[in-house]
Amino acid sequence: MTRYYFHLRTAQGLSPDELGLDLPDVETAYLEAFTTAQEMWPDLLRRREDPIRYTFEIADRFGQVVQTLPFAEVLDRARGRTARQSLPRAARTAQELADRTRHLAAAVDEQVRQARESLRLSRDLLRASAPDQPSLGPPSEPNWMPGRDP
Amino acid sequence: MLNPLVRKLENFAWLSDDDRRALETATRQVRAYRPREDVIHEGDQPESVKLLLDGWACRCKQLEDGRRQIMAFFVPGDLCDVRVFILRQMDHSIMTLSPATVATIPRDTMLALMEQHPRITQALWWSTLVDEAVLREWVVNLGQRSADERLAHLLCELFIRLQAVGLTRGNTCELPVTQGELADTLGLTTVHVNRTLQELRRDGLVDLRGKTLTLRDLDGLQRLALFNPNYLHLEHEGEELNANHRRPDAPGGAASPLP
Repeated sequence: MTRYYFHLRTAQGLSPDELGLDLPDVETAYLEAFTTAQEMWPDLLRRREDPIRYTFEIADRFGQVVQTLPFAEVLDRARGRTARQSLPRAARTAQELADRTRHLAAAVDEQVRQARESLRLSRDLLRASAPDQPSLGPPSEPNWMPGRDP
Repeated sequence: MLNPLVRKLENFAWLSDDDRRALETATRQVRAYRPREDVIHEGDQPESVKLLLDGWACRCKQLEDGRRQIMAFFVPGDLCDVRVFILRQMDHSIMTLSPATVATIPRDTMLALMEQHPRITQALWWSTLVDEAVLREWVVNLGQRSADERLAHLLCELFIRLQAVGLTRGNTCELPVTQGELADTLGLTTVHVNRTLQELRRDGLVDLRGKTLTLRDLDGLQRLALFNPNYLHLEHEGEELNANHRRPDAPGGAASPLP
């Protein structure tokens, strides 16, 4: 079991989780956060707050954010729900598995994006520390994003 | 120590010493349970009534896919269904949540008790009605209240129920329930319960440290939960059934045996 902290990023700032929860792995933590976001959605709407502006930042015990879950992701899952209900059990299970994989893939994308962001930052810093060098031009934006459509 | 069932029933009516003795005798067959042990399992044939003398238990139902709903908490003095032995098969399980002592009241003892002690019978009716009222309140909780209101409501209820059987100290009580179990009670995830608990703590309402629950502001908690304790019926509503024309704690109130 590992302790995970579910910090909540809101429109008003970060609402930290000071207690954390012991869970078997990061995938369980992600799924817990996902279901929690589903539960919080109606409560937030009732309080006239916009769930789209909420994100769970799941951190490990070193304070390192290991997963993020924007509440908007809950909507992806809701699409095609009526179709899923009429499917036989095996197909439903397969589809749930696919959904889960897709969400994990999205989380990996997010991490790659973060890594890329920090790479760009370091590049900017490097450039700033050598101002006399000729400009290298804006960093190119290769179309590297893997397809996420089912 | 006063039998917790006597203590509980006396929230309704004052019992005679004879009534009390009969309850003591009926609840002598006891067994100790470990935490999270089934007292009776869904599908079992109920042959007796279970009374929780010490510790905590819950009534729960598990779905095929592992999801679980806790439908009631039992605290000392609570009977797990007064007339359950009438049924052939349990449609849910009763599981301990902490180390617990459970008395078994055999079917015939229970029937004799109700036949010979009309005050006990009425007090047991009251207890059943309160159990049903609690269940109704839980339906309202799950159907209408938001996550923070649900948790606040449950904590108010448990504190007041424990208070009624003398198991609170000032504004603290024991809450030997995991956050996962609270989650299965409130229909929320553990993460949600955890977050909500921290919100209640930040607002200065409650503090849950380990298994110790402290209600920092019971009034505030009740306001948040829209909590009205009327459904617990703790106002000695059967006082006219006073066996000895005395309050049990009044001095010199010697028992006159039942007519």
